[in-house]
Amino acid sequence: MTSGLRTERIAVLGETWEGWLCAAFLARLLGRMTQVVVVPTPQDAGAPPALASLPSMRGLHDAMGLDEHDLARACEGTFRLGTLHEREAGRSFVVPFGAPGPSLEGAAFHQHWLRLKVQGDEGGFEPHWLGAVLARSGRFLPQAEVEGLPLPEYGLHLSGAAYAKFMQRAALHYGAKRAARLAQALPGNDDRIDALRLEDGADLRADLYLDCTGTAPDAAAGWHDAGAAPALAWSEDSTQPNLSATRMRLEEDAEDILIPLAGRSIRLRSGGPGGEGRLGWQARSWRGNLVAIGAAACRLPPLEMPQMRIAQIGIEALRGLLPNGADQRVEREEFNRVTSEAYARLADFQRLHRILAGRAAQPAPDDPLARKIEQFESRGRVVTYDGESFDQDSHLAVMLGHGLMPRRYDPLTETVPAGEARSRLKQHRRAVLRAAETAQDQGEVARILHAPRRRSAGGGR
Amino acid sequence: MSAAPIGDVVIVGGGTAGWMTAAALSRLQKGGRTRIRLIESDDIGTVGVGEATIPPISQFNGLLGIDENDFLSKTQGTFKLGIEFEGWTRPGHSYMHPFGSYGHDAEGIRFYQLWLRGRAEGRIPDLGEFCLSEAAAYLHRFLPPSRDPRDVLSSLAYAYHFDAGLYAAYLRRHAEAAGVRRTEGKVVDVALRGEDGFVRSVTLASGEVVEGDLFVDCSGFRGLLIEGAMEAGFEDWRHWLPCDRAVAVPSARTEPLLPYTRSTAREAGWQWRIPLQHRTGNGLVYCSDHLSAEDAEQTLLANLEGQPLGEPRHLRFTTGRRKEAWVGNVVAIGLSAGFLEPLESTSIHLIQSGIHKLLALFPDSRFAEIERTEYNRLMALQFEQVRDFLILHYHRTERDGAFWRYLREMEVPESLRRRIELFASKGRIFRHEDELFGEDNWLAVLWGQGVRPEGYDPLADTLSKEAVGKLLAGTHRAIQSTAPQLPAHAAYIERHCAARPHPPETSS
Ligand SMILES: Cc1cc2nc3c(=O)[nH]c(=O)nc-3n(C[C@H](O)[C@H](O)[C@H](O)COP(=O)(O)OP(=O)(O)OC[C@H]3O[C@@H](n4cnc5c(N)ncnc54)[C@H](O)[C@@H]3O)c2cc1C
Repeated sequence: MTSGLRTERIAVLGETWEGWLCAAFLARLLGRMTQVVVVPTPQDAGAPPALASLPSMRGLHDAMGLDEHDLARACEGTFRLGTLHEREAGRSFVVPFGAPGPSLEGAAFHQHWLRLKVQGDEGGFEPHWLGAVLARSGRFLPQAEVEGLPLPEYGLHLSGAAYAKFMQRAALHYGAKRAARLAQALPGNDDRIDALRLEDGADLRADLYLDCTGTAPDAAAGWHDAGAAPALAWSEDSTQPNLSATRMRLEEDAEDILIPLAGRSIRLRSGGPGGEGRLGWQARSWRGNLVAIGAAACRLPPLEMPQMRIAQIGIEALRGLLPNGADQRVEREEFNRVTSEAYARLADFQRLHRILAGRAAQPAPDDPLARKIEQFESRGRVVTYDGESFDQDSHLAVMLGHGLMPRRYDPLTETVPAGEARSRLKQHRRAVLRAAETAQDQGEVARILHAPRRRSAGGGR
Repeated sequence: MSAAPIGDVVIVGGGTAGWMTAAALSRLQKGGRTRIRLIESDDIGTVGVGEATIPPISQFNGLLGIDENDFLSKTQGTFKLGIEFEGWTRPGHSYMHPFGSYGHDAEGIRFYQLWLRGRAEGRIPDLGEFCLSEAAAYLHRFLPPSRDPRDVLSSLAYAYHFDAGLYAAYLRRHAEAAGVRRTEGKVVDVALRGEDGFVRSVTLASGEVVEGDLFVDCSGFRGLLIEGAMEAGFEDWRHWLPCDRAVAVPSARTEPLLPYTRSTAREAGWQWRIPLQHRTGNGLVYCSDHLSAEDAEQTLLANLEGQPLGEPRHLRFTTGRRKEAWVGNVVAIGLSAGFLEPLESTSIHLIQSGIHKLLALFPDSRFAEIERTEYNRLMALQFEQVRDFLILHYHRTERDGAFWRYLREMEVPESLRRRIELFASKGRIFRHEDELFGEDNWLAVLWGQGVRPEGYDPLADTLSKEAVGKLLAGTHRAIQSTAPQLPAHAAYIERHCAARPHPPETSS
């Protein structure tokens, strides 16, 4: 058996927010044994004005020893409880994080609601979902006891530039280095990079290279193409309708997104011609000894703000499959299999939105999405696959939100007498209301979080 | 508008599958519109084996509201902490596939990766010594796990051994109490509806015609409805799992009472040993191309630890699965849906999983195609995952002889090849969604069958040598000092769930 870490250096190409994120993560993880070097390149993409994360990103931040409150404080952050989707005629729905309620008598929580709904005497689902109620009303409930209700989960809205800077500081703090700019990558055998020639004339050799430049090689072999990229127009906006939700509107041929930061909002309009490059992902984002992570591996439209999640997919897959030395074949194959699966599922989730909004073609019978839609329509069963970024609850919210109403419900719900089911749902709604009342307004949370701080002996929050 | 719910459910067969199904579906009757009826024939016995289980069985019992001690005392049941595989890797070798986990993770790094590193750097105890279930099993001790995750006792996991006939009888009482109607009689004819080819009714030898909306075929290997009437077809997996016969015989209980199943590799198959309170169940599973029935019987009888109690019974089977377990209004559950040999005691679990999925996709009178295809897809996946796990045991072996050589050299499914390769490289194991066997199960068998990783996850090097050493030593100490303090298996049973001295006759 071979022992000892033989990965002496990892070179991160791209002084981007993704590059610094990878560098910070790896430097913290591999600290003593592996040198992490960030190499700026001429292709480096700038940081987007705003980023949004999913609750699962917290695991990555935790692993770096970063507290999300500190992060929010440093990055004009707000806590993201979900996405508010505005539809035509003033209608809207929320895709919150976390679960609505516990299952009962072997049937999922929503099935009990569905049963009463199908039988014709029940209101909407949203009032049963604490996360959705909080997201819609701009509230936040960090960690309170909520009698019998699943605790709402949350991600973050962040300033992209501030996040990049924060990650740079973290990376350097954990021992990562920044090299001179890249002049040219020197190719070796078998798709491998032999070394990086830098502008200061030095050659930098590493055991593994990460492409975090944020620019994907269009139509490279193995590129899974998903159409021309839409034009993106970012602007700053002083309206702050709601700090707890990303606001999203699907228009005829555009998406209009409002991301609330502390004190200002960022608006993103995405659509129409004039976008740069293509959408899609690399089926083999690890080739030779070069691993593409983030937008260099996968580019999707901004619906549900997938950018951070895309970077997270690559980083987590790499974490599970860190190679050791030059023979990286087994790791490479598995990495490419799991990441391309995850990118496909993420793209599917966006497509699900569009199909249900009537803005994309219905899936073909053998499309994995067809099964998700059919199963839900038939009996409210939520199907997910390996490699999903959004869990069953998110799928549930999207399908119900777009008005996909199952024809039937789980017959196991009938083991609860209808009267009892009705009163339990009512109790549940009351509990949601009570919990929402104890929650803080996020404007208030932000005011305290972002207040200029006096140093106190205890520091921290 | 919802279609009318299913009115009459007819279960054909009263073996383990039939009664498990009846007991679980009985709750549907609470809605007041569904009636459950079970038909079984006293002339046609049940298969009468199937006495070892895996941990998820406790969820099934929980769903039915079954009290563990009551259940074990009425089925001559014992606890099972794992399976010992003797001679599988090579003659003279043995390993345990324990339930429960190995050590605990540190800094997000899997315990087994830290152990692999520790091993690369010096002499450390065997993997199994870091698993409480295994340590307790070899000491013949047992205690249910603690719920406190900080307590080493929480890492224990277990299943049961029980008398198959008594288990079916136990579930029968449960189902009948919940209103399931039982009819004794042999099905002699099946009538199909002209318009859609669905089963309309079955006719019993008495002449009685039993109509139904949904038929669950629990008739055993013969697949009376699913194959006999619906002609679902069978996918044969004998090229990967060539055993096709078994001979079984009970023998007298021996002391100490082991809390695990033993599986011993033999020349052309393997032998099981399942300890119950009143007797030991034994059987030899073999491949008829390589061993005659007489030789099989002799091998079995020559390798019993206690006196045989009765005549050996011979069984035939074909490994594989029904191409579609649900056709029209017939759902096959149990042996009628397919068979995977009992090497990892998965058949009863496949019954449980079939029931669970049937409940999740329970049809109404319209019988939407989409529920049927989904059921078939999920069951096919489940069978395939278990199949891969079984093949691993046979494939990674150094045993000699034509039977074993064939297995070692055959081409395995791609999904399994990839798993072995990932483990062989750096000891990595990834679990798929919905997969029955998890990382620790795969680890036990991959390592046990002699797959040795070339390296380990480089992340394990991020901890200092001292930290890893301390963690391994601490875990080892905790487990090795806890195991001897647990009560003896036999004593625990005596105190909590001893069977009454004269067990009732089994129903078959
Ligand atoms: C050698 C061997 C060892 C095994 N070991 C294990 C193990 O350790 N763990 C495990 O989980 N599983 C094991 N199994 C599998 C397990 O025994 C079965 O999965 C389980 O017993 C379920 O069987 P069944 O109910 O489907 O069929 P059966 O037990 O065969 O029952 C069939 C039923 O159908 C009825 N029937 C059939 N035809 C008619 C008819 N025409 N009219 C009326 N009724 C009819 C019969 O009366 C009977 O009640 C083993 C199997 C074998 C062969």
